[in-house]
Amino acid sequence: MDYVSLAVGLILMGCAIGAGLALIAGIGPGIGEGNAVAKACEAIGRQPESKGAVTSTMIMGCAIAETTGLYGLVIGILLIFVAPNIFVGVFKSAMAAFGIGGV
Amino acid sequence: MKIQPAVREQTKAVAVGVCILTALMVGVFLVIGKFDWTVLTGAILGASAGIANFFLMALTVQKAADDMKPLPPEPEEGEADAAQQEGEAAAEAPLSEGAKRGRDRVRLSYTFRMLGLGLVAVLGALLPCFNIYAVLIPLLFPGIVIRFLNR
Repeated sequence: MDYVSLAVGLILMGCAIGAGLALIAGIGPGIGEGNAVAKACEAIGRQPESKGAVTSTMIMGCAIAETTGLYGLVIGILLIFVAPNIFVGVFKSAMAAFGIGGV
Repeated sequence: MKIQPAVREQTKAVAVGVCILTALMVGVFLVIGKFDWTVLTGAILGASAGIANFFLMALTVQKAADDMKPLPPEPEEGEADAAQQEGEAAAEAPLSEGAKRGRDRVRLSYTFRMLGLGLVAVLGALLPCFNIYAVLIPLLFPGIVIRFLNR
């Protein structure tokens, strides 16, 4: 059995699962942002004179809420496109250093 | 649709902050000796995507606020207390139609904006003319700038 290929496959699988888990972080901000905007819209509906102030605060709040989703996106992209090469490279150099064959 | 002055000012502030932070990031690439023209193209792509994302979000929020029709005023204190005594569920009034529309609009906009940012990130990762780190890092700058502005 080719254990090196198995190990590389496990590394790739770990990266893919990690990326999927990281992207789950994108769900929450969307829901929260929607709820915040809904409540702010109701506040504007009840007090139309406060529209400017509420809109400014809402924009800032939405932008900060979105940061969490962006962190997840960035980590997910890094895990898909960058991490596999790094981890496989580290693994292969470790194998070569210990003199384990096949690499 | 007319862009509100608040949206324009905030986008301008965020754009200036993102440009400054991007220049700092390019400087760091220079200092550590990893600078080449892909860093520059990647930084331009990432920074413009981050600013465009913030502007589109602000526009969506503005549109949701503009479309909101006036609602009847909130109940008097005595009535509100009576409603609270009936339990939290009773006190929690259902959302009005305008608020629901705003909520759905923002959620849809968030989905499409995230898809767009994902596309930009994938392009930055796959095309050799972009440095992936220089594309991804500026996407986080608007959040940092806003936190700094709200200090």
